[in-house]
Amino acid sequence: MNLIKRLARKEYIPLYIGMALMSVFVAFSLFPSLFAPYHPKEMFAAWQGVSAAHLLGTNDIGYDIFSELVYASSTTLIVGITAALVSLLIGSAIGIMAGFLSGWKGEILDGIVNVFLLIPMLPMAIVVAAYLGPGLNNIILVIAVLGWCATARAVRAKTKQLKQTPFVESLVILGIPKRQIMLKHIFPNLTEIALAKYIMSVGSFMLMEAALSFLGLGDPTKVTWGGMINLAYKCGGFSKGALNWYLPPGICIAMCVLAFFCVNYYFEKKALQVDGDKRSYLD
Amino acid sequence: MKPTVRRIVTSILCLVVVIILNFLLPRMMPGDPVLMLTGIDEDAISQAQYEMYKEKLGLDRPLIEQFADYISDLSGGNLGYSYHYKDTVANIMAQRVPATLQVAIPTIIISSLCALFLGYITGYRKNSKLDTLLTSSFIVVHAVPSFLLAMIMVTVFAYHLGWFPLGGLSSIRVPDSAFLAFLDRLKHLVLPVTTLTIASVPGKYLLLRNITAAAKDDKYVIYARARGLSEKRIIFVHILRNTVQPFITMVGLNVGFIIAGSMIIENIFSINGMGTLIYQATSSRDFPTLQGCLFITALAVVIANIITDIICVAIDPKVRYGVYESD
Repeated sequence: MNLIKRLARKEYIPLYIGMALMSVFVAFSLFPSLFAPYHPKEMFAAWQGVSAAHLLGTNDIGYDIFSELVYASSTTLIVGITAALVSLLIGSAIGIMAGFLSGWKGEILDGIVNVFLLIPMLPMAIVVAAYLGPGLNNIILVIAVLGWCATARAVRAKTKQLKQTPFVESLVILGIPKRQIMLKHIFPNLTEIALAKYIMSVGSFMLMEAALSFLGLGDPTKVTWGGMINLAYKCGGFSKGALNWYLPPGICIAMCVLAFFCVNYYFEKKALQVDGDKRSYLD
Repeated sequence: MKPTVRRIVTSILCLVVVIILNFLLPRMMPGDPVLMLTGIDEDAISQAQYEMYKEKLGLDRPLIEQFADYISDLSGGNLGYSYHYKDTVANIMAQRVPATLQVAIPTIIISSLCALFLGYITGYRKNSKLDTLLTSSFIVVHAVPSFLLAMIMVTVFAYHLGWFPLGGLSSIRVPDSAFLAFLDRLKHLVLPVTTLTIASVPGKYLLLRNITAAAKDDKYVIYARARGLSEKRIIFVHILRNTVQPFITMVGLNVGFIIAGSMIIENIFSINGMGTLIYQATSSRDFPTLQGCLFITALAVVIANIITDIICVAIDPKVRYGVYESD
């Protein structure tokens, strides 16, 4: 009884919502054939509306939209998760060094982070993605290489804070090498912020991928939600008012991103309770 | 280096990085730079043509010389030539940028004011019912891609309700009198500006809420409360004045985000701005135009940042003494 009461507490609501949404999409991407009634490339009559045979109708060349939706979820998740992982690695490495090193090395890294924060990300990503050409790996690369600065900024701020704590000061006085202090003593204290930023980046990178695919820069061989909306827009689904074609992929993107935001919201509240810090990592 | 000088140097460095990348990308990426910069297919180009373009673009000379040329071209306002549109990129930009700015500038103003108002109120009353409601609904809105929002807006308010026009920036027949033409333009701008405002408020709101929540326990706030000042006065006179620097900086940083957002939604509202240009340029692989868009956006961001930095120095003495640098 006590356990049920504890699990039903109000603060868990965002976590539950996030987990529930996330598990739906993870299930979609792990076992698409279980959920999708048809293969995504199976053709039926085009421009069908909502019916029992086709839950969300068919598109202009007769693909079943619901099946496409299910098969597309893995691509979006993969892009978000891998790109965020790469950017986490770059961001935390540069962030720690920019925050901890002093002198010209620190100045230069600090400057690099500040300059990258200013670069308008979407136009940059569009140009680089256009040059690299379509392909899933290229999209991941572009997003990761341009998106690490938010992580770096948060890690840098926290490292600067930690640098002034007595335990780091005493390590410096003891003559412990800088690399050891950064990796063994500061890094473990950064896991919370790194995790929060990672979850946040997964969400925002999925949005980024959707925007790039919507602009037609996605991988044409893979079905993605952004790509589906792009097709619906290009092939007249939008101007014909085929709601069943262009709304569901967009809602899927929003739900999937929301799942990650919710989980982050919960973890952050937890971290703030422990830390007594008032800053949120949601921005 | 003084903190303000450092920030202005950072802004200028950002522009330099974008220029260098713009220069290097076509020359370093896999593929032939001649084909990339002209946008001609490999099979469609003859050997003589290839040589001519190569010489014209200066691709046969050393990289340093090319870069010097590139910089002198840029400083003269020459952004390159789009073989797809058969026009200079600067000309194309001059036609397209005003439309984007007409969407972006009102959005920047309206969304900043909305975020300011809501963020400061809920930040001051963190964990109240209003705060929980607003913050959770903004987190939901934050997750919605802007193009979906734009499509929903058009479907509901233009298709079904017919309150606003479907797209474009003015009616096919623009009214004669200047006032009616202005009203017509306003009517066309309502939907795109609202969409972009809704898409850009959450990020700013969350940031401002954080700033206010962190400031509300400062001593000056406690004193103000002890003096019996009204909540409104404490929030919008005392806290706002003390936290105005991060707010102004945020508005400056937001310029790039909003221009990028405008690029995404312009297609849906059929506005002939940079966004539609980017859409067409990506499908026709028109690289000079894409790079022009990137350069213009970066330029706008850098100018906005320098202006906001100067405003900060002018109105906030704390910036002059570098109080915020410890953050």
